[in-house]
Amino acid sequence: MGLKMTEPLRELLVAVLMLGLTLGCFLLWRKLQRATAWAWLNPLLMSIASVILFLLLTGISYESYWLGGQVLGALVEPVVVALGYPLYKQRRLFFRHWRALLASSFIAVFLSLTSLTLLARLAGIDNTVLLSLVTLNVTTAVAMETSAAMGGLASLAAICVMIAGFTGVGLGQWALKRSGVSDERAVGIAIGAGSHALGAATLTARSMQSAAWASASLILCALLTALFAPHWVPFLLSL
Amino acid sequence: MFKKLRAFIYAAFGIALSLACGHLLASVLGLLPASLWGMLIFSAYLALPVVPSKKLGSAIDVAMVYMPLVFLPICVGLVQYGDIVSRLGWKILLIGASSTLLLIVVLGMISQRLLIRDVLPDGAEDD
Repeated sequence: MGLKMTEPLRELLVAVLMLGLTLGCFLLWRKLQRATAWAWLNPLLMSIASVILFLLLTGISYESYWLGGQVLGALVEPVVVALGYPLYKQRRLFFRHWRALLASSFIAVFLSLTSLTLLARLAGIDNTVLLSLVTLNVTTAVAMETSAAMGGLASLAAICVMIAGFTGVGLGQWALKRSGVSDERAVGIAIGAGSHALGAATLTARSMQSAAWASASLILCALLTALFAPHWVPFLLSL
Repeated sequence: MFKKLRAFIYAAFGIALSLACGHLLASVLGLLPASLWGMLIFSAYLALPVVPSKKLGSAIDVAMVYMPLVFLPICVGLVQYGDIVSRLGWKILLIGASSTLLLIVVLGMISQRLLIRDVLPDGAEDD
């Protein structure tokens, strides 16, 4: 007598398998990155590529994958809240240098949003993609939320965030050196505002001072982007 | 082990409470998404003298290492937009990289020449 699988049981099995695939993939790539210490082997980026490849090869739909993925997806909001800890850790820096940090973050956010909107418009990119692109200089969690709130695609926004991160990791410090920027605080502000947590993490190898400024800068830029992007970007698009 | 578990529970409680308050503020005031309000509230929560922020911090530091995992399922949603990636992928890459590089250089120069020197004169205390 064959075992008949009910629909809820089948869904549960698919959910567990997809969750296992996601966890396994991420942990494997993380282990590989730690073993090689190669920044480009980013666990998130490599896991996205691996899971997408797996889904395409097996013909499993995203809806089926999401049965398991939603367990992790439900944790996005709490994870954003947990970013309050790095904000708390940098409180002394914020209180002591709030003018410099606020002014540079304002400049960064408006420069980023304006240049990205104008360049995307010039390149003839449609609004949905443009709204996913404009938040690429802030940390993933905030970029996804802000972009989706404006009508962009959260998944594409996360990929765009990686582009900014890897640009900063690969070329940021070299470009700053070529431009004559040597002040550790300025380097931190610039890398944090342009390449968020990925850039800030690489600065720890350079100096803790620049890494601390990068952390403070990226948090402030994330907040200002979430605050101004939903107003500034539609305004630019209406011109 | 028990201490670590307790720190996780304290952190989870603080995050849940902050998120709930964040939802309340977002519905009343708007301005920011609920999670960002929650982030600000959580930061204030950690500053409370009754909260063992150091112990909570060690638990959150561990959780932060696995933070990108949470975004993975949503990012995989890109599989639904294969046409966008094949049509506009190179444009997105070019615009993203060039704009980021421009931002880093311009902001680095401004921060060094105008902000840091003006606001933080030589000898100013560093962190």
